Amino acid sequence: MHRLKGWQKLVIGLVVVTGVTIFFMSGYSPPGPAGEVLRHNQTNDIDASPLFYSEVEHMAELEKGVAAMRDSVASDSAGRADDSASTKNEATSANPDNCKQAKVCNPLSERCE
Amino acid sequence: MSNGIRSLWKNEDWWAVWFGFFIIGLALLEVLPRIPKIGKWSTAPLDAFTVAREGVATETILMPLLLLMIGLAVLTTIGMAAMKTVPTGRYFLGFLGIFVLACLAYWVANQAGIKHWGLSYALWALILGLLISNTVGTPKWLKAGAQTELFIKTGLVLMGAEILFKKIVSLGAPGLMVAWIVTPIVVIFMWQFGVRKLKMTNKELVIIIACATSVCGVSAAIAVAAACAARKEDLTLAVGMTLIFTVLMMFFMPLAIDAMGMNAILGAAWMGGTIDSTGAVVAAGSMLGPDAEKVAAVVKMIQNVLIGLLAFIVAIYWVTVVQRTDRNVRPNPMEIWYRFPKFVIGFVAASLLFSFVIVPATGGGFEIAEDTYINPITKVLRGWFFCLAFVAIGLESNFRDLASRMERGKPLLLYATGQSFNLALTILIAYLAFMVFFPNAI
Repeated sequence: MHRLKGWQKLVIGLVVVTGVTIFFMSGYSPPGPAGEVLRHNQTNDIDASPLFYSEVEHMAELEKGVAAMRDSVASDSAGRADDSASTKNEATSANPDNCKQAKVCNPLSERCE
Repeated sequence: MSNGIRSLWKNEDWWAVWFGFFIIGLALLEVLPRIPKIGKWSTAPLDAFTVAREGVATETILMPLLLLMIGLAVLTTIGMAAMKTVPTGRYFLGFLGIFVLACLAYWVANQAGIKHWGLSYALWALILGLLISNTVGTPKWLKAGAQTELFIKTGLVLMGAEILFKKIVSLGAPGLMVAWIVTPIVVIFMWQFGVRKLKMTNKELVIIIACATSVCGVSAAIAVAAACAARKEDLTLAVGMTLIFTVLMMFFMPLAIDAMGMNAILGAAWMGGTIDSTGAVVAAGSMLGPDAEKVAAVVKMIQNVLIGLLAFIVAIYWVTVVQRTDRNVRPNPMEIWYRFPKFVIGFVAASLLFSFVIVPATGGGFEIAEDTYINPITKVLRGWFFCLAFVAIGLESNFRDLASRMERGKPLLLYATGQSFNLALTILIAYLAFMVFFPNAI
């Protein structure tokens, strides 16, 4: 069988890689559920390519969002505790700041104790 | 002069540390301009080479890119001249060629449609390199510039600046449980399964696949491959597998979670702990809603922080156990030090510097350090070094060698088994963490 020369292989390779690249660039998404995530990414222009957390453009917003969610839960539980807590617990639960401080000191503690 | 002293300017590991800390030093002194990066584009290819500044017309980045190419070429040539491993002039020319290929890889990867698929620059850089090496063959002048280890190690020292330890408490105890309990168990399980059950002889490939599966895919694979001095083909195989499975998991995990009617936060933690790359985690998480997107991303971020510790442990384990020639003789500390990959010290030192000195010095929050030093300088340069490394790996790999490392499909079986174990253990721990032990954490 005739063996292809290097440059011939390169041309064929380039054609294949270019074809595959154009396919991915085209905005095509598989029909049905298999393409659901891709369509979601296209609609919301989500970049799914970052390899490391720091490469995600809005990572700081996501981190702040989680911090806000945790603060909200902490102040909710502090508010509830405020209504029914014993005198011993009042000093901590009445002030959400105290609760936050307690969490900073001991990150493994999820509740204000 | 003793070999120990000479190694400071003769050893590639030390040069990676010098380059990394030279760049970090310039970043901290704020003397470097914003490092150019190829931008996102959709239908107009030249948009990738322009940048829009507030209130000012779009400007081109071609000149900054040219300066970056020459700057990096000059910087790394200094190290190459000291090491004398290849002729300096030939390295300089080869570096320029590899930089152009890296630009091409970034340009393809930054097209909007490609980004939606989650196909990163690492894949395109590998493809370009493999295409050349497996067709016309890599020309000698280009091969001289393909200093894969130097690029990877310098990139890893710079990556140390992005690993900020305080971030591990971002999600409190449940986040730590999912990210830090599961990960070591999966690494140990996969190591034992690969070495004892599958009897894989290529131990470097086993540990790279184990760490890529359990931590953060490509980034972990690079760090661990450098720490255990793996061959380029091993890294290529692991990266190829992890990139393909990441896309598949991004597509199907949200659907499975939805079909099972699983709690969105629990599902997010599950995806954050198992899908390899952060971009795919964010995309899959956002399918379950904005809160799930945040939780998934932060779980992944906490896991990402493990990368430095893991590289350090693997480096120690390799020099003390795997590479030990005489099983009956314990290696002495000097021997361990001699064989220890020194760039890991730079990697960990950069992480400690930013975590415990720079961030506290800038007020304790991450924003100032990230916005001033990391995002515009060290992160972009780390990306460039990794992209150069992947082009170089492709240029030095051939399909025949890759096929020979498949060991009758054992690496694939290792990945599939390990990822299945990872999925099962992560959902169990995430359930216990978010639903049983800390139900009010989020």
